[in-house]
Amino acid sequence: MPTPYFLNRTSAILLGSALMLLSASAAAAPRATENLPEPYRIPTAYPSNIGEIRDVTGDALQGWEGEIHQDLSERAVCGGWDMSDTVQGKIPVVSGVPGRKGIPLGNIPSGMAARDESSGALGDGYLYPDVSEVKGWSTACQAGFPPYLDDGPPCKDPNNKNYGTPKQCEDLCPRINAWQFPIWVVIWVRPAPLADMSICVQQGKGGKELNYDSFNGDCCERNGTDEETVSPAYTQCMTEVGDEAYCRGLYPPQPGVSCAGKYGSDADDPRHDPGLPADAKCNESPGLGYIQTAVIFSGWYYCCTGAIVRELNYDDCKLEDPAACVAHSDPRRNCVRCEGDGLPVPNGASPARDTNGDLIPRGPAPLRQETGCRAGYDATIDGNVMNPGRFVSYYREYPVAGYSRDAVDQAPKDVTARQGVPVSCYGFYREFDPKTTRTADADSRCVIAAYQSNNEFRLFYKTQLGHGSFGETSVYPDPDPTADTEIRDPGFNADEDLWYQNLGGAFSLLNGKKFKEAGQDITFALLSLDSTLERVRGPMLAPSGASAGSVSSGRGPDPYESMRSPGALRRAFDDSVSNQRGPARTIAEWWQKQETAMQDVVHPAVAHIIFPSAWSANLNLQHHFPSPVLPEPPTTPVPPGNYDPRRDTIEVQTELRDDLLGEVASFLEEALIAPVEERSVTIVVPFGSATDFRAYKEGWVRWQKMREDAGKPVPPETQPFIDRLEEYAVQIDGARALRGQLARSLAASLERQADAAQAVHDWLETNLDDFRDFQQERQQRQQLIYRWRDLQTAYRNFHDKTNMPWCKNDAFTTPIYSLLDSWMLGRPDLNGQSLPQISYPRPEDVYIDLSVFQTDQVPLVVPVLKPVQILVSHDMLSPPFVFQEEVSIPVLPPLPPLPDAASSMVAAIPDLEVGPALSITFPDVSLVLNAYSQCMEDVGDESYCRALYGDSDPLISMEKLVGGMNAKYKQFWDAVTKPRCDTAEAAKRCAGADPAEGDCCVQPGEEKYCRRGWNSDTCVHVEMDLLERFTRIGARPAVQLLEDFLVIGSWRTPGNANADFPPCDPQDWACLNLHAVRMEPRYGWGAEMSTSSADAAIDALRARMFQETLQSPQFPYQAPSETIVPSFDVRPPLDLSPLSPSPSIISP
Amino acid sequence: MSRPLFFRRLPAGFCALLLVCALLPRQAGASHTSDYPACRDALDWQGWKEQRLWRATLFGVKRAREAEASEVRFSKDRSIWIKSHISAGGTSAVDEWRSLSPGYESVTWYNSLIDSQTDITPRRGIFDTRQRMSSELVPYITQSYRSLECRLEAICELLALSEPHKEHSPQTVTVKVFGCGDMPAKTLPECHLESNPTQLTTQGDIHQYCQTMIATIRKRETQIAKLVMEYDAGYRSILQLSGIMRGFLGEMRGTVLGSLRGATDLITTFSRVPCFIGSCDDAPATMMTSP
Repeated sequence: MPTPYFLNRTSAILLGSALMLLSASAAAAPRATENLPEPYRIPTAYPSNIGEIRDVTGDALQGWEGEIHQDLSERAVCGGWDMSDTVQGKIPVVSGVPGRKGIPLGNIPSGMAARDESSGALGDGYLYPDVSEVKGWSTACQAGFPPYLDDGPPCKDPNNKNYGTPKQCEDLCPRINAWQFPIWVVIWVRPAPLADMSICVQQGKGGKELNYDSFNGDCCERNGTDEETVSPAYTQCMTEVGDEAYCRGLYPPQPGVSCAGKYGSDADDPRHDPGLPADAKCNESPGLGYIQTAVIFSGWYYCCTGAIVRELNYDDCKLEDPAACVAHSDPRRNCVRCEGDGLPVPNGASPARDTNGDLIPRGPAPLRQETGCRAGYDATIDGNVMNPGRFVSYYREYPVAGYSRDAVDQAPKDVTARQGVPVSCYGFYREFDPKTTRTADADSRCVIAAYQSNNEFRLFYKTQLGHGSFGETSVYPDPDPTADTEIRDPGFNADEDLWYQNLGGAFSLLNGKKFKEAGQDITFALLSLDSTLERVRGPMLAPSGASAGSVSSGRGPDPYESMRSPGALRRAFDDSVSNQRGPARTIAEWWQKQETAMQDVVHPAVAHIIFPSAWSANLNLQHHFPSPVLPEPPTTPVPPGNYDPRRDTIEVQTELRDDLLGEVASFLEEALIAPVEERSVTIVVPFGSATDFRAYKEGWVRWQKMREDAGKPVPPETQPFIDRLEEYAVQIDGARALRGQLARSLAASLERQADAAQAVHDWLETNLDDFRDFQQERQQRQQLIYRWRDLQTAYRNFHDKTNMPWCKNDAFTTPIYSLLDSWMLGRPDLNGQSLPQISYPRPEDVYIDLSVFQTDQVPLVVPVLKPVQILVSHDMLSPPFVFQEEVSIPVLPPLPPLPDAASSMVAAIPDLEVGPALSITFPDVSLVLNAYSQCMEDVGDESYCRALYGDSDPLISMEKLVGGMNAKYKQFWDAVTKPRCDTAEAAKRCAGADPAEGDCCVQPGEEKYCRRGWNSDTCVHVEMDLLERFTRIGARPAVQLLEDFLVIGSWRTPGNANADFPPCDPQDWACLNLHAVRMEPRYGWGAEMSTSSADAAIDALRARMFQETLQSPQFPYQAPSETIVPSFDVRPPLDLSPLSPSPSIISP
Repeated sequence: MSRPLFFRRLPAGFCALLLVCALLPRQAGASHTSDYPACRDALDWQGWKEQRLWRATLFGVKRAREAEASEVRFSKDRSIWIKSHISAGGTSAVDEWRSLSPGYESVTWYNSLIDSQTDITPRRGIFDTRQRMSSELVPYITQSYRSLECRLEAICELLALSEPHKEHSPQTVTVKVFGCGDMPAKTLPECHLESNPTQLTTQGDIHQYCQTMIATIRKRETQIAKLVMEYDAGYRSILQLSGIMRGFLGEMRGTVLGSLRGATDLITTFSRVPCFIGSCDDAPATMMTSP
């Protein structure tokens, strides 16, 4: 089956040639690799100039002196094309073997020939060679009767390892003919008074009727020996065990069947009377008074035909001596030589109906005695049904099989014909249509004995070499960059446009003039990017014409679309093509479908993390990458394309790795944990020391005492004042506690941060197990890849090696349906309904959508107290003169309360409200293991599991199927190319084996042997499609001719690039599909803090601090209160962000 | 003596305004007593004001309604006001300003009054200038600094011009500072020391004090200006980079990413890796469609 996989087929034109290097090492030195085809490589990873690339790719301007060109022109042994040549006449015309012809170009889309299913004697297309082209032996006996007429196959020579040989078949025929029985007529007479006569016909011994038992019956072998007959089972037993007693006990040999042994006497006389056996039933009196009057010997009769024996001389009839056979007196003897098909001319039918022209003229003269090899005496045709008659041939020889075709010019040594190839077929002729009948082992019965130097196929790998053009003379124009279709901006104005878009279709150049005007500032260019869109094209060969539209958008109609190479569309074909199913190629399409399906299955799931764009740039400048604006949720139904969050965000497709969630969590932390900023809050704190205040206090106490001692009045306010000074001394150190305020505020903010971290941590915990499960399932799925790769390799090997023994192009040959049997499930059907299908569920990607993950970038504001310490006015603290008459005791307010800034700011820190968490849906990518796979996972013993659960796993079925396919075709080609034992190839192939055994090569004289029975060694060809097989063997060299390029599918391009592509039709495509894009419901956390609330809290705190520490207490500071006020001044921040949404900071 | 270049560049009205504002006599709470402490206070106030004026030139002064809570404004009568309350409703008209200056302890001013009475007119600072690189700001800062120097020197010159006067009211004089333009001004009555003769040492002290004060201010402001310039240069560089990046990303999202996405879509729909060398997907020339 050629080329089932389109990629291979696509590249077969040229890369296939590289493949041939393997099998034609004598013809050309292969490239330095063991595994062709291998991609060509540029020698250096970063070539410094174009010349290094051209060393490989070649260059038309330099005469194509590249590695690729060199390989294709000098080393490739086949491939390429010759469009000036036609397939017509290049498909072999076969003669001399049965089968069905094809109409080479009758089913072009399928790549195979249309099978002729209407011609022939039966109107079913089946053709049979004429009398000059087929001969053999035909018998009316059945296998096992006589016992030496074996089947499976017949003609096994016990003296030559039980090989089936033509000589044995020839020798068998006389012996079959000797399978005879005698008849006597015994007359009993009863005298008067009740006179009567009884005639008894005695057939053989014992009972009167003929006993058909092979060993104990009435038939015997004339002039045969009395050697006991062993069964094939016995022979097999002896071969395998070698213990005679054991085998005899198991398979007891049958006694001899010679007539002398059965009837007591025999002689080389067809009329010899052995005498009525004593146990003959006719020896018994039919009644009382009967007297045996006469015993008349009637003669010997042929056991299988019942005809009377008139001549015992059978040995003169040889396959090569038809005259001697015709001369025999008994035309209806057990076994006769056959020729031609033996079909009668139907009444009224045109003699031309039998296209072979082998109608045997019957009638007065000349009367042919031989029967046909296809049908025997008395064969009739009723409509399209043949009644083959009694005689069936058990051996046929097609001595002059062959084919011829026109030569392919590109292969100088093309062997265009093989004639006189002998073909031997062993076994009773069975006629059937391989398309509608599944062949059995017994049907693989023919040997194509092309092992002579003048007819062998073995050396085709040398003779069929030759390659066609490979593009060395083709012109592959890149699109003319100045062509109208490439001009994207016909209205280019050098004075206004920054970008020049008219050179080539994919990139733009800076307009130097305009750029210079802009100060040659590259940021100017960066911020005014050209709007070029990429345009992806297939390989380009030539423009399609003037029908193209504008291409300025890059997604519009592509004028080069239709010029992609049809070589990419070259169809794979196989032997499952049939006339009824038209272009369908069951196996090729099935495989392409499985390739797509398996690619879907093993295409690793990835994680799509959808970021807001600023995040992906990892730039969190507070004011210049504002948080994304929460888009409004779409309302259903969503108009397609109207709401695509990807347009606003950046999607990062990343490999699923173990710590992926951790990385996402770090993103979340970064976003949720707000930056901390300080805000200064000014407070005024009395500056003093406890010692000072106590000194002043002591002064006043002393002053008080002295006043009292002096009898001066002491104002009552004195003591409270003294107490207040002590109070100051005690409390003044309390100002140090203000240091703790910052720590408290920070602690509060840290608690808030911890809440955020905890939320992220909880999220991580929640998703981790699911993620692990998902990972495990995914990795388990990845294991399928290795099995699938092996299977792909097996398939490639089948295509590139097994089915390509030499350079040949199988296109337009007739399908060989029998090659599908034994491995293609569902046969004889060709519809592929029973083929295994990849049925694993398709994995899905993971989507982590952070696009609505909003962080306000609002800093967490922490108040930092800025104490302004002012000296207490000491002037008023000193006691006056002791004897001063008018004394004014100062009134000191209490020390200003120590502000509690932390408490108010703690209250101002917004709580983190953890809402519905960011949701991740982990798709189920588990493989639903069937019983077999589960067993393999549990036990690991393949044979055990297979025995227990069979091949219910589709992959196993596919492995088995591809393996079977490979084996079947290998068997075919191995049989065809088996070397003669006296050749150098034989020595090479035999390696350690003994050539004398004939297993690795063909021994002289054994070319026609069916050595190991049916369906083995060289005895593998199905007789019913020998013609098709010769057509395949004689297929033309592997140069693509004109009609080959008509075997193409169609592009998937619908013509409108904006429209969806059609689905991946397995008829022509195997696709690498990405997993479907999924839209998740958009959930996400956001850190929502209000700038105004935080600032308001700070404002309030500042106002309060001003009031509490300066404004209200009227504390006796050394400096006037008014001059302390400026210490409370705050400096508003400068905002340097651009005023307008203009992206450019250099725009005027 | 010709005026320095930078002064010529300043609009004459601008200079006059600055000088008038700077040299206005203190009204609120002014005792006009000519003695050493009063003169020193007057000098301090002058120096203070020059410092604020210089900083206002650099960083700007917002209108009262735009001021944040706790911002401080100086009135022409030397009262000091602090924004004590911002109306929650956002109506700037009811923002409250309070003062601890004598006579104003129980008075509340509002934004409009602050704006009309402030001794430094609201203005945008040099560092407020957007979309300019720091190097572009240097000439203006330098010029302002030269102005500061002149004005600081003018304080001590004014002191010298004030001393001989015996009147208790300010006298119109012209302050001449070497290298600076002539500045018409009013003398400082607190420094009319001739009206209250003191020892020469006291006069020497006041001169020494004045020189020391303006030198201190000059030195400090120089250091601060240097620090601010460095910070500003770094900040604006990052800002420029981020602006470019933002613009670039904005373009990239629409243009480049759109193209890439389109390419991905196409490649996906082709469902196979495109072959970019002609030889691996070739066909006979005769199969090509003629142009």
